[in-house]
Amino acid sequence: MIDSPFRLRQLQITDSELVEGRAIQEVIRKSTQLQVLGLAGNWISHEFINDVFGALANND
Amino acid sequence: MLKVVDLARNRINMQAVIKLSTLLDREQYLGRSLRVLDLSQNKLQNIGCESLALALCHNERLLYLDVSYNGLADRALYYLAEMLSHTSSLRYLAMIGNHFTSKVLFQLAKSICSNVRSQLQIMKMGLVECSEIEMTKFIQNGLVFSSLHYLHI
Repeated sequence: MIDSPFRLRQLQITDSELVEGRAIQEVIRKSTQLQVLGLAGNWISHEFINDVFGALANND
Repeated sequence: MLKVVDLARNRINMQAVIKLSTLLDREQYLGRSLRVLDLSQNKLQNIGCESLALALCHNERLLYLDVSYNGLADRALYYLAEMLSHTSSLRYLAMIGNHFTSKVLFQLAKSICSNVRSQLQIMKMGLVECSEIEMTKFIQNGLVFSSLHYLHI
């Protein structure tokens, strides 16, 4: 578990067969300055959208 | 604040984009922050595109939207036209590689003309079938007062 916030502004995970959002959900949640999320060329579907973007909404 | 989301070439289907659409509402986090959304080469289909377009009708932040290569047909273009009649922030709209015909061009022209606040500068449609008469009407009716700089029919 990651305890302190990140200063990450851009996260790119492309063409990596990424399916599940839980692996990066915590990174995104802790990256309070994140502006660019590049996830092109993966296997992202409904569950990922729920996990990752749902978490962002809950952070609001 | 998340400003750019690139989800091109994934498996975003109708169900996924409906969820995403709820988060793009202007009252939601993504709706208030997002400037660029690339959903090209997914599986949105008409119903998913309808949900997205309706969610973006009242979004005043998004500048760039790409829904190219998503298996969309004229029904989706109708809803994208509806979106264009409301949104005032969008500058770039790409929707090539779908199955659009010129049947909805009149609706599109009407939408572009009716939105005096529109800032749309680049639109890429890539129609699979287009009659010369409908294209002429679209150019005459839709482009006279529009802000478009680049049009790919």
